[in-house]
Amino acid sequence: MNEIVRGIVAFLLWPGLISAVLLAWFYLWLGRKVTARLQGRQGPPFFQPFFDFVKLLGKKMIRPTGINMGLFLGLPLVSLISVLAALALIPAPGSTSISFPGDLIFLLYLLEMPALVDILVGYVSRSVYAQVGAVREALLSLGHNLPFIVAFIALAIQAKSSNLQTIVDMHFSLVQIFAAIALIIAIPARVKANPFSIPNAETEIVAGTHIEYNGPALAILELVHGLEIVALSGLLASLFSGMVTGVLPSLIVYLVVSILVVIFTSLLAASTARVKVQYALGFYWRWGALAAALAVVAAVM
Amino acid sequence: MPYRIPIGPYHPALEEPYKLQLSCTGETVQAVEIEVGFTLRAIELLAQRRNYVQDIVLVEHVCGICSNVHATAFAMAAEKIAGIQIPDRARYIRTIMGELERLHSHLLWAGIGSEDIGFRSMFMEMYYVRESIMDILEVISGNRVNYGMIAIGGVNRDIPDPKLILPKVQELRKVLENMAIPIFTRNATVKSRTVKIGPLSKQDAIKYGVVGPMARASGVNIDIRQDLPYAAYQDLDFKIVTSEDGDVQARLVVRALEMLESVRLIESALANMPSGPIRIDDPFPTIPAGEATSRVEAPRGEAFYYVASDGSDTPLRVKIRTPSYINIPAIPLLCVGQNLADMPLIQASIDPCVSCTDR
Amino acid sequence: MTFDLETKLSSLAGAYKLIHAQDGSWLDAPDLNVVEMADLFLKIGLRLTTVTGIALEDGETQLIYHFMDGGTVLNVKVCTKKNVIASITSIMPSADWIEREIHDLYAVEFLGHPHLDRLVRPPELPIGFFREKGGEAGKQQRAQTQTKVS
Repeated sequence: MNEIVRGIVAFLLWPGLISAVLLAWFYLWLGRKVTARLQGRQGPPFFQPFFDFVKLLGKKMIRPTGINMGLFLGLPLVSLISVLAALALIPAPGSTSISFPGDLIFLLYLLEMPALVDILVGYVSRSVYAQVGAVREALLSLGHNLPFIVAFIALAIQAKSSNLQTIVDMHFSLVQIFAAIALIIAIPARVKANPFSIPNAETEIVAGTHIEYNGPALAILELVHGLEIVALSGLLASLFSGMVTGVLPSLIVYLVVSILVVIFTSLLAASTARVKVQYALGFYWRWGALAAALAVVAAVM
Repeated sequence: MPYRIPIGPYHPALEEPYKLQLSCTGETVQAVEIEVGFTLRAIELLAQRRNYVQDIVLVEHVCGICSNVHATAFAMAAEKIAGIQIPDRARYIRTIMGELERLHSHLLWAGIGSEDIGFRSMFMEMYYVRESIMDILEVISGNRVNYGMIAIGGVNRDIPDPKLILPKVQELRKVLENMAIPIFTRNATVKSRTVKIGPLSKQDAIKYGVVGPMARASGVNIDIRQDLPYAAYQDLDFKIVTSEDGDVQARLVVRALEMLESVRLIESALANMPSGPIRIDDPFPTIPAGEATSRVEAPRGEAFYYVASDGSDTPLRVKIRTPSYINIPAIPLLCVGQNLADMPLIQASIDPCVSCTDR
Repeated sequence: MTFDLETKLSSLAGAYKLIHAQDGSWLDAPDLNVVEMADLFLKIGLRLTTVTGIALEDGETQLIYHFMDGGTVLNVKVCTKKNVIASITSIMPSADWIEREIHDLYAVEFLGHPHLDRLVRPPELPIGFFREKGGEAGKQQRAQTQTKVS
């Protein structure tokens, strides 16, 4: 197999488009089901995220006046393609993805795209609620990016390389544990789950940046949200899947860790109220930064 | 340059239509304007076109949450004009209905407050226990919201079996003591959203004449059940709940403790309920010429009625002053200088009832 | 609160007659200066509950100021002059909405109110919607209009 074919397979099959979309729907369902059971509700049927997606695709798209169609539809597509590219780079077990020096940096940039697009979407929508949502998204990304990026810096220092495969393959140590803690602290804010559902708070700013979005454009944004969960939990899981040898055992570790991340996020969301953006920033700059700093110290030692 | 952001009249944080026009710089609120009147039904005017029996039903529709309070206050005003003494058992039944209504109103409020700070699980839990209170109300009166219990000169239905009510209110006490109050006062995320938010000083509370839990949370010692006891409150040794803090947390705690007090009042009223008739013999008493005021402590505060009669079957004038009407104008006071994220919670913390305000 | 209402009230200008009823004291003082009254009551610590407007035959409006504090209840009946009366909002902020509503529904002008806008009805509609007779008189009036229509 030459590199182009391997890249395409990674992008479209595993861990890219098809498998990631299926996993995204599964994780969205799992999160909603866990939350519902905790709240004494029945919860949605298994195929609900799929139904939601299909329903939104079938809707007529209403574009607010004064917004360029290219921007309105283009931004979600940019977001979708970036997150799919990021997924293709994740060193999931059995992945055929191309590995190159510095792909970690590329991955971090790609993962940042959905947040950037959300901010742009907020400003493009010409709604005051969306603009407040965009400001909040921008502020929140200052918070959660600190532990997220510093955790990867620590891993890169430990591996003496910015290649993802090298990082995953390295001997398991304290660095991975601290990095994993920093990542799991960052994940609820990155997927905008409670208590950090600040940019998409319904009761305050009417679901924030996506307020003017509807139909297929909203379907894509919702799908991106699911794919982000897959990418982030997968990234965290890939740190642990290096512990075992063989494709099948590491695949099981990969999926189990991902599912645990989803369940943890849902449990946290169900047991907390939404905090304010200042509080969230304070939290990330204090505790998130501490976990990340410990990872760096462990790596340097 | 401040920007303007509207909350309402249609907004997910408001269950009823009124409008807050906020001027903000960044996320800080600089000025607030309030608009009401989206649901004016002119009940005061309709009341002076109908007879007293029809009016009892009409004033129940002032508010879906505290319907019983309005019927009680109207009936009390008419009874004062006519000099009617209602039977003892009726006084106790009115008390029990009033307190059950307070429980379901406060639980509804706790649910909506949780929803406003994004605490879905607490919302579900509060509505779950509220449903059992609604069931009791339905068992007693046959209705879930507009109970039709109050008649001029007594009540329409008896409470046949205290055993139907007692276990459920005792269960509510357990939920409140073991879950709701600890979570509302100790959960770090809840505290970060409620402590020192939306403060109202005691001076401002008196100046703006706010009533009910909002006044009591600011340290103002007013409660109609204590000041001008009606129904059976003077027999039941009512204890007022106040707090000095004046923030959203204080309003939460005052309401939670008030629910415990309501549970106690219901238990005590059920235990001491005298036997006898539930209403006077005359089903349609004549109201002579005269005028009277009556005040009843609704879940949100003091509800005031003024009724004037010319001796015919139709009142000359019915004036309704609901608690929200006097509390809502104080919202700008609570909001200025606060964070935009806190607006839904601050306005919810006074438990505004727009249906009452517009009447 | 324990104080002698009658001696306090005697300092107020305007004819008055204090009646003690089952539901508190009623003061009938059509010509009372409401600003002085509000000043005095604020000092005593009486809380304004609300103001009732009643449309009178001659186009005037009777205003009943309802006050209370603790167990003390006081109702003051005042009458407008040419449907105009002084505003007490500057003294008691709680009167702001009350006066706006009475202006909206009874077409009473409150002199000195900072922003006497409509409160409950849309600005396109005429003010004074509630100026209608109640009781027996109102019933007869409605019966007459109904026969005219049919």
